[in-house]
Amino acid sequence: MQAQPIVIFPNGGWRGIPPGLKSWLEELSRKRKLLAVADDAPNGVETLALEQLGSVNWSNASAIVMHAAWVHIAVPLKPRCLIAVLPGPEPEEAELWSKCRLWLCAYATMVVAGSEAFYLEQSFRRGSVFLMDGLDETSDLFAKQAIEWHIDGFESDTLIRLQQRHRASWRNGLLEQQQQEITDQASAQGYADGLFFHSVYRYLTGEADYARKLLLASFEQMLAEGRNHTLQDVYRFLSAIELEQGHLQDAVRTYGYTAQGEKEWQEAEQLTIWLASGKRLLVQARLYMLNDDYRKASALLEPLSGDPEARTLLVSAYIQMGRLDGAYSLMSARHRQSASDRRQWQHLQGTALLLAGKRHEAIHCFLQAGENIQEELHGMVELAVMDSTVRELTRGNKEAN
Amino acid sequence: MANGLGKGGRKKESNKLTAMMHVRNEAGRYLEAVLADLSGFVDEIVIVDDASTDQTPDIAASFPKVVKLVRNKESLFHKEWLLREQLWRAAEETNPDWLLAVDADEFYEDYTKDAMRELIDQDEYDTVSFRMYDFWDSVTHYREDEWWNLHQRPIMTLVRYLPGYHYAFPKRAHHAPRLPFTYSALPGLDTDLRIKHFGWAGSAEERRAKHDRYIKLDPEGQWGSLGHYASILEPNPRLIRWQERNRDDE
Repeated sequence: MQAQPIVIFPNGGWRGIPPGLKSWLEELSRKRKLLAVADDAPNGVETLALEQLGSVNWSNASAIVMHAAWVHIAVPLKPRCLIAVLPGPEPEEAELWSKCRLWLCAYATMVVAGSEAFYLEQSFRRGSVFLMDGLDETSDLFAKQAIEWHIDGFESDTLIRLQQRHRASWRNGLLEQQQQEITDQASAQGYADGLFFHSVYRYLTGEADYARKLLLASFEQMLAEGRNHTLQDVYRFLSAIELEQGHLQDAVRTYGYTAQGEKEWQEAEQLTIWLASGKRLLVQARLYMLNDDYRKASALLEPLSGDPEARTLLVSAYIQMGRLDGAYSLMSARHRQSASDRRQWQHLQGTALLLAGKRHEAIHCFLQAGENIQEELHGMVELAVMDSTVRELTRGNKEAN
Repeated sequence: MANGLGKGGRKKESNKLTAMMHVRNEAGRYLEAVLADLSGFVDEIVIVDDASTDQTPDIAASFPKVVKLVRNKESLFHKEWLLREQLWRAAEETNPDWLLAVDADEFYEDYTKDAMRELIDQDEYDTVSFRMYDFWDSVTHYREDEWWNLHQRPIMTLVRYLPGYHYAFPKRAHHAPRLPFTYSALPGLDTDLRIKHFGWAGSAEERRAKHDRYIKLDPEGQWGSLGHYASILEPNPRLIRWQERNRDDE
């Protein structure tokens, strides 16, 4: 087992790795073979140049990828395990990195999130997601153990539920502590958000009744604090919980109450039409999507992909999940009737080819898409940005932007 | 919408308007006039009588539009939020479309009453706020000064009943809001339509008695402002003559 190497794709050389993670990797290097695509790897960790990546036997090697820009390099290598260890979005980051993160996470065999919001976002998009945010030592230990088990080929999914339950209890502990400290409105800061996060954990662990109670408490608290947009940002999630409770009609009704603007009113109307015509699975799937739970939505839609309405929803869910290959394969020629559908398909095709390691074909596709519309050349520009960023990411003396 | 409903499943026509109020020992005051007035523009009335010891329940029961009258044997006066909740539950049981929360000394201006059907038969908003004018010493003048200016900000008294929505009241012993505070999340309409509040329109003796009762109930100003309580005894408050508004004025 020790012969199976682990290759680190860092986010600014070895120096750029966050301290907690770095010490764990250095400890790991004493029992496993570690390589890093970094020009400042410490003793015990072998340096691997970008040009040497092709010489690694990837069917036997694992990759730990720490920046989204590596996506077009790491994914096509098809490592035995591809573990994305990412900090989560930076404030006001470029759209390109959001897309790359989404794709990397979709193609990874495991995701380890560095922030709670990013963790929950990914948990609604795929399985094998762990949280390692440095706030809770036990929770971090679950994530580190899961990575090792995953690399060793053992099933690590059992740890997901354990981590979620632990994290829910941790959240509960924080809330109880805050509750004791609340003497006035000002000291309640963070309490309402804590209730909301706790509710989401209970949703993930399948405790719908508990999740409901916490969500409504969070909603009340936020209203008492005079917060805005609570109907859409918080209360709407009740419709996902009601789905879990098996109350489909209630869930549709709740979504309707929270709908605002023409687009959302149309969504609410569509749900009602589907419900009236007995398309209950479509209603469920769409409601999960409207609550950002693409994972549950896609699980419902996959067996229905022969139905055009279900397929359209599934394509949309796959795109939100970063599963470009899935979306691309469902968008066959007869579903590409409009010019915008055709452009979307070409763009998807280009990116899917890039992630499959077919760089030349991808470039050809981007060029083709750009023949008519100049903005489609963005695919080419973005690829150039990703290439140059990757070079920066290997350097320890300069952190990537 | 497919089922004839409007935005987000909201019913936008033929809505039923239900007034709701809790009362206690209101005989000989404005209750009869308020119920007569309400009977002219609402469809149903729901009342919780909080252990009155006078003829209040009989007065209430005599109005045909009072479809539900709940009588408490023991008063919940010192647990006002429970009283509000009780009234809310009672109103829910009558399958309302819209609920108008009224006190036994409030009158809607004719102009406001005329607008009521238009306000409820729509699918854009779920709450409607009005301007409440505190009449002082008479039914011809209202008070306006530092402490008495409720009419300068909107007060929500009319709400769409949304089955299954989360309704909650803050646990306040006194001055509990008349409607669930969770309505504040829903889309609302602020109007300059007016309500006349006659609670202070009586004699100086009646106002002093009310002042004394407030001070006894809330000596530390926990539920209201002590300055506000003191202003009740102001000998020469600023009073403005009420001008009734008509649709013809527009």
